[in-house]
Amino acid sequence: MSDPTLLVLASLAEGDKHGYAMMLDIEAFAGVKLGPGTLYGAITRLEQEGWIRPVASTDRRRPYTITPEGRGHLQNQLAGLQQVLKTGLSRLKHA
Amino acid sequence: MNQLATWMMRLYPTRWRKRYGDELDALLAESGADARIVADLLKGGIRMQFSTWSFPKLAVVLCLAGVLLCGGLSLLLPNEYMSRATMQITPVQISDDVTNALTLNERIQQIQQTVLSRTSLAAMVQDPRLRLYTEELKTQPLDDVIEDMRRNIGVTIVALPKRIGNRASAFDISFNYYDHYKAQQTVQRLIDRFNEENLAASGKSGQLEEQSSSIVTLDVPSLPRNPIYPNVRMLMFTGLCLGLALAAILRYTRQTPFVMASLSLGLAGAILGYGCYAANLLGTRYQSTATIEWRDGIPGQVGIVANEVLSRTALSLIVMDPHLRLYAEQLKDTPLEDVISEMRKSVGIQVVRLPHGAGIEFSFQYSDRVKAQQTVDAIMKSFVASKVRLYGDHPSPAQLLNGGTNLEVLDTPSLPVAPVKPNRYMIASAGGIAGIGIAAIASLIRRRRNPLPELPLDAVNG
Repeated sequence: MSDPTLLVLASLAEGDKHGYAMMLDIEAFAGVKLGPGTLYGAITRLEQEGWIRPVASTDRRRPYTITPEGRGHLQNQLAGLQQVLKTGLSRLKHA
Repeated sequence: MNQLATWMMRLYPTRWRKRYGDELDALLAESGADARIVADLLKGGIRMQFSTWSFPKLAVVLCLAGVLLCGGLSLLLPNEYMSRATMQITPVQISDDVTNALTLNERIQQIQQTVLSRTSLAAMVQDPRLRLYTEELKTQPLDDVIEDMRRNIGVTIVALPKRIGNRASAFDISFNYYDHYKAQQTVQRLIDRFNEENLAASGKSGQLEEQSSSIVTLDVPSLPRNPIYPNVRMLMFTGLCLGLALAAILRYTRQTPFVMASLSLGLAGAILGYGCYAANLLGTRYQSTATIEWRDGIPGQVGIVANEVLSRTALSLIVMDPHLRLYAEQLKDTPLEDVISEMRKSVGIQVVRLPHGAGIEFSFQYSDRVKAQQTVDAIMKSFVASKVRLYGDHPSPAQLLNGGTNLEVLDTPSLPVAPVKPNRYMIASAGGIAGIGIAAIASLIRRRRNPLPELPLDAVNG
């Protein structure tokens, strides 16, 4: 699972985070070290899709929050992945 | 490295930097920058630019990149120069009949074969005054170098008598080489060899001096100034076109759903293919046909005569006919045997059963429609001559022209109007399929790469 948009959504599902916090969180839970260019490419795309939105802040480090549409999209994606995971593990067990 | 990362941020579009620049800057301040981050910013910046540039900007940048790339490529390729000289072969005494006219042409071919033989070219390659192919000789066997040299030598008949045999023939000798002085010197050496071989051939045939042919130089070997290869302008123009096409495909497939992109690119491909066909860029071939009736002829006899017509000797006479000048370009660098094999594929002799004998349909495909017609006429005459020789018919010249005593021309050779190859529908279809394929590949790449969408304008200062 290395799709940056999915990783960002998964990170924001826990709560609002700014860019650097997302990078650390994603590295911690997925072991993927996203570069700033890749991260902000994903943020741009997610914001365009309406799956995340920025939260008002006085700090330069603007936090983002996941929208209900984003949460739904994440759920769909994870359900698909879960099915793949379940099938794969089951087949490995019986192989 | 931090400074480098800041420069990389400048690669992002201005609008994007207004929206996300501060955040990214703050992130870099916290995370620090290393080579991986700089490379990531570079990649992200380029992708963001590509996703937000307008088509004209994208086209200009890609065209410029294409021109620079191809211009750079042309600098890497070695220059090749062509020196050329024009020679005239002047037979003092020749008659108007076809046999002697062919002898004149064959003389050039014979001399050419000797001059371009392995022994002759090996002497030139190893001549310490010319010092040709010195680098190649270090790594390649002599035979390969000679083969390479042979490909770079061109002997072309450039002026032929309007009425065969009543005037002299001129021919060009050219040589392509990386050094323009050596190219010129080699052409001069080739001229000397042509003269030597011509004199030797005249001596062997026992011709008196006044009856032998002489070769005179009309244009001395030129000293080429500009290389013929690589063609820098052509390469740069190709780069420009490729850049423009890439920009159009990138932008179009990005903004258009797959079905629409497939349909429109397919249509564009079909139009392009048809355009190439219409502009005669695809090696158009015309077919001329003629039919004769052989009264009391049986298909078995027709087959024997047809084999005679398609024999190497008979076809070589037609190929070497200076009036027809068939396959002139191929003959420069292809052995006659191969050219004849190619011609044989283009000749058709079909037998049709008729109530009183056999009908024979002749056809010939060629890039020039007039030559196609003339060649069918020559094939028909060759057929008649072979038939007369094999089956003992002795018609008068007038009868011979009309197909002999029991041969009747049903259809004279046609002058083709529309080409038979390439098939316009096939090409348009291939263009269409290619267009759909390009759209599919571009869409697949787009989906895989998941390129960035337009910037959310309403989110600015969000």
